[in-house]
Amino acid sequence: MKFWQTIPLGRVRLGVQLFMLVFLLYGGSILGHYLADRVSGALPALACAYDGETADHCVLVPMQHQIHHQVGEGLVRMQEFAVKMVIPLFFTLLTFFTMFVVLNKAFCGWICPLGTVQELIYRLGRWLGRPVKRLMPGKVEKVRPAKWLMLVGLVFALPLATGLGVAPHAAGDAFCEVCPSRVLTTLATGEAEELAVNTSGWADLALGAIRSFLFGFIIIAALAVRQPFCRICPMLALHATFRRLALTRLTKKPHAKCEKCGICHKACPMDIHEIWKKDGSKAFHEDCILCGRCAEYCPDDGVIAIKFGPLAVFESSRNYYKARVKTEKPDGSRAKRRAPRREGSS
Amino acid sequence: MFLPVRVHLCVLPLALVAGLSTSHAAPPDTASASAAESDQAAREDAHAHHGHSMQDNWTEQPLLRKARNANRRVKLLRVDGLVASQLTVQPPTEAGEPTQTKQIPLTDGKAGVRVLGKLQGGWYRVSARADDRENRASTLVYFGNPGPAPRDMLKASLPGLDISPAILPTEHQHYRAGETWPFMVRMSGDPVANQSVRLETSAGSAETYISDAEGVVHVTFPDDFPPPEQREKAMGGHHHRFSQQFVLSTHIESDQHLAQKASFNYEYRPGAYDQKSLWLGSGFALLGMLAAVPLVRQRKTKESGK
Repeated sequence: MKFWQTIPLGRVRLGVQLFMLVFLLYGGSILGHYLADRVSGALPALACAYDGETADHCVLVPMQHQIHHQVGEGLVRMQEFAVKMVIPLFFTLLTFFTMFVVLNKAFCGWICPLGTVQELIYRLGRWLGRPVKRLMPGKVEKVRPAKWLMLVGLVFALPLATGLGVAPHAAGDAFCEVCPSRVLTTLATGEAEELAVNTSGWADLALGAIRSFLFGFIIIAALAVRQPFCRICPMLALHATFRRLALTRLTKKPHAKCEKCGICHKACPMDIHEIWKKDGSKAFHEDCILCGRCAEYCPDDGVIAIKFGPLAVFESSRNYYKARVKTEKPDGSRAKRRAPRREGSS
Repeated sequence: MFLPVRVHLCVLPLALVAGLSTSHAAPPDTASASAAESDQAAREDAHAHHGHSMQDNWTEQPLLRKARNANRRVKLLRVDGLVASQLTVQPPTEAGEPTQTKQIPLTDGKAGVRVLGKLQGGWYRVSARADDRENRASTLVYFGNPGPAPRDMLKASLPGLDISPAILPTEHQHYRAGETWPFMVRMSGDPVANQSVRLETSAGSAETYISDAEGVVHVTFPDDFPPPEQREKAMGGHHHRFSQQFVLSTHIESDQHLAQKASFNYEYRPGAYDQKSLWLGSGFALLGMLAAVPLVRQRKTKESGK
C-alpha cells in the first residue's frame, strides 16, 4: 500500500474543505480587513462579495458586472467597441480560465463553501437517520439542463439585457440575487442582511424571494439529497465548459467487472451513472465535482484515478476500498460495526 | 494529498497578472488625465447623475466633488469653497513601497484623476490645499481594478492638520447609515487628542465628535435619507445606489501650525435594511424549508410501517 493510501482521501478532502470554509468566510476578520480585495485581485473565484469579511469574491460578480456595464451599456453607446467591451470581458474570462485550467472541477469538490456546507448537512442527515434520496438514471437527466439555463439566463442574458436597458436594474447581477450562498456565507458571519428581501421593486422582491426560498429548501433538502444546489449551479456549467482542458481531471479505464459492480455510482454525490457505465473521457462527466468518492469506492486497482497532468494524485485500489467501507458506506452512511465474535457462539 | 491547495497557491502569480490586466490597454504612468479624457469625463458627469443625489450648498466647508461614473480610468474632481492651484493624489502602494504622491494642476477648479501604472486600482486619496495653506479638503476616489490595500496610504499623513479615514470599506462595502467608522485627526503625522470634529450631511444633519487619545473619532452616519418615493423622484426613476454626501471638518486655533482647517468629504448610503424586509425573507426561507420536508421524511415500507 502506498503512503497516500494510508489516509482516506475523504478525510483529507474534508480537512481541505473545512480549512477553505474558515479561510473564505472568516479570512478577512483573521488576516486583515483588506484581504478580500487582495485575494480577489489574484483569484476572483471563491466566496461571496456581499459578505464584508470574506477573504475573496466570487468570479460571477465581476462577470455579471462586465456583461451588464461593459457589454450591455457599451452596445447602447456603440463606442470604442474593442477597448471598452471585448477586452475587459476577455481578461475577466482569462483570469477565470487560468484558475480553472488548473483546478477546474476540484473547486466544487474541495473549495466551494456552499458545497462544503451541503456535505456537512448531508452528514448531519446520516446522523439523524434521514433517508437517502438519489436521482436515478432517467430522472437525473431532467435536472442537468438547469445549470446551463442558470448560466445562460442568469449570468449572461439578464445582465446583458439590463445593460441594454430592457431588464430592471435588479437583474444586473441576476445570479447573485438568487444565489443561496450569499445568504449562507453572510449568516455564517453574523449578518442577516442578505436573508432580507428588498421590497423596493417587483424585480428585487421576486429575486429576493427566490433567493430566500432556495436557501431554505437547500438547508433541509441537503439532509437527504446530496449536493442539491450543486446540480443547478452555473459554476458547475462553467467548469464543464473547460473540463477537457483542465489539468485536474478524472480518468477511468475499462474493466470487465464494472458492468455488474456500480459501487462508484452509489458513491457519487452527483448521481452520475456514466462513471459506472462509461469509461475514458465520457466517464469524466459535466456534473463531476472531482470529490474522488468514485475512486475511493472502486474495488479494483487502478481503474478510476484523479490526475493532475500526467500524475495520478489518487488511484482506486482494492486494499483502500476494503479499509474505506469499514468506516463509511458508498452513500455516505456510517458503516455498521460488526460485533466481535464470542468464543463458542455458533 | 494537498495538491489542490498547492495548485491554488501556485496559480496566484499567473492569475494576478491576468487580474491586474482586467481591462484596457496600458495607460501612461501618470495621475493626470489628458484634456480629451477630462472633457469626456465632464460630459459623462453631466449625464451621469444616475445613482446619486446631487445637492449643492449644504455646507460651508470646502469640498472635492466627484463626477459620477466618469469612466474606469479617469475620475473628474471639482474643488468647491477653496482657492487652490493643484490636487495632491496618493495612490495605494504595496507594503514597504514609498508613497507615490502626484500633483495635478487644477483648471477652473477641476482636474481629472487617472488610474496609475498598469491600471493600479483600489482607493486613491486626493486632497487640495488652499494657496494660503490654511485650509485643506480631501476625499477618496475608487478604481475598480485590483490594487494594493490602502494601509500605507492611510498611514501617510499630509503636512499640517489632516483628517482621514482610519480604515476603508472593501470593494463591495460602503459607508452606510447607522454604521460607525473610525477617522483619524493628525497634525503633521502626530495624532491630535481631544479634537472636536464636526459631521455634516447633505440632508442637513450635523453632529460633533471628540477624538480619543490616539486621535481617532468614531463617526456614526445618520439615517437621514428621504422616503423612497422622494429618492426616486430626485434620481429620475433610478433609486438604486442612492447616496448622500457628508463632510467631516476640524480646525485648530494655533499660530504654531501651518494648516488650521481640514475637511474630508465622501458619500454614504442608506442602512443595511433600508427597503428590505427580514420578516419576508425569513418567511420565504421557511416556505423553502417546508417544500423540502417531503424529501427528508422517512417513507414507511411494508416492513417498517406495520
